[in-house]
Amino acid sequence: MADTFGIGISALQAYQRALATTGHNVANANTPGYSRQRVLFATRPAEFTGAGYVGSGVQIASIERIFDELKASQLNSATTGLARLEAFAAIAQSIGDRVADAKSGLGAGFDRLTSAAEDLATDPTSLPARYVFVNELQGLVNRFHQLSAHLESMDQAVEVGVRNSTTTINTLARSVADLNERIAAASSSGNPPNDLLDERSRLLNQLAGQVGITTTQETNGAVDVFVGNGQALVIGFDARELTLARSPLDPQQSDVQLGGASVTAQLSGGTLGGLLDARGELIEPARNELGRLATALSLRLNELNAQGLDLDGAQGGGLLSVPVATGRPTAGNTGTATVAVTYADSAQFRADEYLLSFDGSNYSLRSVATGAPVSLAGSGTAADPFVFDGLEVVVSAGAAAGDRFLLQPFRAAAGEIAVIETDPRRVAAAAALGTVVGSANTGAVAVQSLDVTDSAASGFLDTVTIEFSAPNTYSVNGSGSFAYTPGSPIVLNGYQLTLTGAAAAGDRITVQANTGAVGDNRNALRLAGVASERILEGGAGSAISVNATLISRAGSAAQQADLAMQAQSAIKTDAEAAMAAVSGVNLDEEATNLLRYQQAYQAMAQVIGVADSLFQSLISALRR
Amino acid sequence: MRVASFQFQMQWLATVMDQRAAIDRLQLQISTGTRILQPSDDPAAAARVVELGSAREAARQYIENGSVARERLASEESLLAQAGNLLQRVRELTVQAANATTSVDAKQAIAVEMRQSLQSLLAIANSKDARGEYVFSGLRSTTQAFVGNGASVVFAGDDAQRFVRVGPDQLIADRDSGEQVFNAIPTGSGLVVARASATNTGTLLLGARAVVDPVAWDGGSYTVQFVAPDSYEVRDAANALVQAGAYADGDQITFRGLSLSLSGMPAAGDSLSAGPSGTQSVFQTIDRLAQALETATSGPSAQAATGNVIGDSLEDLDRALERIGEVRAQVGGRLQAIEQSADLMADNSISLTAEISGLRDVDLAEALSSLTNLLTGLDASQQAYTRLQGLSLFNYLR
Repeated sequence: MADTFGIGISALQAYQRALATTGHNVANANTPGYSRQRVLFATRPAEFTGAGYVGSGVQIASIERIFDELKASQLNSATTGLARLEAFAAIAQSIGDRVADAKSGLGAGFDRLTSAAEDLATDPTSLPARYVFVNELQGLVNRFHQLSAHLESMDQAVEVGVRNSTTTINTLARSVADLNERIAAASSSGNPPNDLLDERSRLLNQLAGQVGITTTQETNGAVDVFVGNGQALVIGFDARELTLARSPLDPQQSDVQLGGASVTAQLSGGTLGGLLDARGELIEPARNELGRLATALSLRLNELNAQGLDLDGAQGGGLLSVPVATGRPTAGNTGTATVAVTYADSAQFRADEYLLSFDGSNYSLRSVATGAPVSLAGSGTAADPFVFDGLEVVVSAGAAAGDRFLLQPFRAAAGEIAVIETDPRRVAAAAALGTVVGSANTGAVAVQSLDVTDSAASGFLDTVTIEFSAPNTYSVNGSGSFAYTPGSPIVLNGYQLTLTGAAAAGDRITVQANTGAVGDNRNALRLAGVASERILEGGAGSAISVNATLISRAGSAAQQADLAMQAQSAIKTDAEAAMAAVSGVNLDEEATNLLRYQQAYQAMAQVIGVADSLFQSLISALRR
Repeated sequence: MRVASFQFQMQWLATVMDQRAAIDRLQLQISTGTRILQPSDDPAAAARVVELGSAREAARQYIENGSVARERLASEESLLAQAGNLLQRVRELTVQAANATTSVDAKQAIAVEMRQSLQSLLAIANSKDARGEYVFSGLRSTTQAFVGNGASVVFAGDDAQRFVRVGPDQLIADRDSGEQVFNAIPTGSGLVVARASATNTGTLLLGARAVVDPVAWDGGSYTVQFVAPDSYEVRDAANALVQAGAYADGDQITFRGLSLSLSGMPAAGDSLSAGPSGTQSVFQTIDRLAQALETATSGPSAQAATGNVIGDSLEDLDRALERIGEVRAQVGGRLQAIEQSADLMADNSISLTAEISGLRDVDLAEALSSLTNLLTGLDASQQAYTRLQGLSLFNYLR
């Protein structure tokens, strides 16, 4: 009978705990990261009697947490992937929408400048048309500035994001280390500290959202966390901190370090990985591409304007200030050498950055974007500069072995161009040179074309008379005797003159400054063509086509990131569902358990009642 | 598979959120009429739309350029028509003056009218267009085209045209230089010019002059010298004798393929010159004529001198009229080219607009039917949720 009481009490205690656990499950049905718990019942050791072993009731072996490590790590990796794509896609979207915007994008700016130049060409003496042209030039420059500022603000947003993310990672890493210690202490009793384990899983998932991690389980219950290629973030009860330093290569960017060593290149996944990827794959290429376009356009506009005469008959000057290409020694150089980068040939420009290295005797160059080596021509001196990709680089003396120089020819260019000619009279709408066919000519010699090659050549605007001493011989300004071949260019002071037709002795052709021809629009027509002129990509790309490429690239990057994000989002949802299928609380199940345990409890109460009535029967029998 | 209650709700919520987002997007597409809300929706189409937009903008600009050029050419055309009428009138007056019955007084009266026509023609040649540019001064468009008076009128512009872009590769001149229209007009027949010397004292009158054998005509300069009233010598520029012969009133002298019809009798020492056509401004032509009429006197040799100038001038006036006719024909051709280009550009613009619209605009019928589908789906999903939520076992634990 005492046994029956013992069994009853053991069962009542066990079912009370079971009911409490079920209650705990129901209470935490909506707690994120909560894993349902289950009571494991076990029989108490039986007592040996003469009649054999008699059971002595039930006991709780353990309260188990239903959790699948594999599914949890799958969820972590899905979280890492999604967080990376969310950070990446937000930036891709922002750049794509801004670059391709029909109203504020460069395309509309090119159209407006072209229209203004065409209007100037139809009415070259009109001051209003000239004002509009200068204003539209400013408008185009403003568009470059706005886009550049937008990309710069994206860069800054990445900087802030990286800072916030590393702070969060450090906080989470400390909490994980802390929990490791508490879990190890609590596990020493032999029973799992379920709710602490849940808490740590939740933190690890959050950490995975910030940066890609790998974990290993220690025997004492602690979890070690690694980032990158296995750099330890949490070992046992200790957390290490991610720190930020200026990048030795590019002081404008933060470098993420762990224990004093750079891990920026190794980190991947999570918000932090997404931000770093966006910086390298989206923002920097876009800034360089935009800068290249701005540089090529300003060089060409200035060149064209200098090839014409303004409203007052003076040779045109620069319209835009050309950006200054950046080249600087990297931190850690031991030598004193500096570099100077100048633009030489826009058609060869590539939207890239370069790292120039000196090994003590030779220089080598590689692209920052691809890491591929770039071949160098020249020796780097002022007389014989390094020439590559349309750039010229001069390195001063004093370089030491191991010194490196970062060349960023276009990074800041789009923000630096500015209109320097605001006087509408100074826009060179007229061609600089005019030709006069002698009125007494008796031959059929005529001017086919006059192409300016160098408007800065000496004697460019001087009057030059070509006089034929015989049908196939001519002199220039009365001197020399040259053979005349119709259709082959005559090279003069910065231009090429092509004559056609048969000449007669005594025929004259005069080239002179086109002064006074204010109604001339030949140069304005060329200015109007600047946006569609193929000045880039080795003569295959115009400003308009390069911009279209930029738009479609930025747009597809945004679209790709968005599609990948949707796919990853589905993967994460699946991982969450799989996790929830194992660990989540199902209220119907808990209701059933509640009924089950309640009934068992009630039944055990009946057992005690029966034992009591047996006991009472015995007492009353003895009292008689 | 177990379904966690929390997960079930969250998943339903996520589905409903997706549906709401899709509905919101569709609603925005319908209300803005564009399919591409952000370039990233369809990057290829967005880039294409920007390029097509540039092409459409260019087409609009070409049409606009064409209309400016058309306006200029139309006003040039009307100036040329006026100039042609004036020259025609001068020619009529010249014919009138050539009539043997026209008295000296009448000739002088004609000269007065010619002077007025000369002034009017000069005013036409110095016209400005609506934008204040001289129409006929070439590229020196703010420089007065012709300065001076009478015989001293000189062209101050330049012999160049301005071209306006009316199509991707089509440039049309929007003006003609006064050099071509008024200044450098060929003299004589355009091939050959023959003049009686102004110092002639006889009554020799130079009539028709024509190259009858173009192969024989070598374009050299020749002098017909009358050594006696009935005998002539033709000498070339080097004074070498080319031909000599006898002359009688009404004879034709023919040498090197050039035939000169003569009448009247020269005095000994009178001469004629013949050579390749040069150029002379229309103002000089009229001035020379007016001067001859103003100074006309009676008497056979004076009448012959005036008659010779009138004969020369009729030829020169015809050249000037021809030139104006040619330029008018060119202007007409350009106006037609502008018209064609504008039509082409307008067609382009329409097809570009259609293409842009095809890439960018939303198909309303399709969008509205998708919206209906989505709304039905959302409604069904909401109803299913409320029904399923009522199924909890806890509802029965009372």
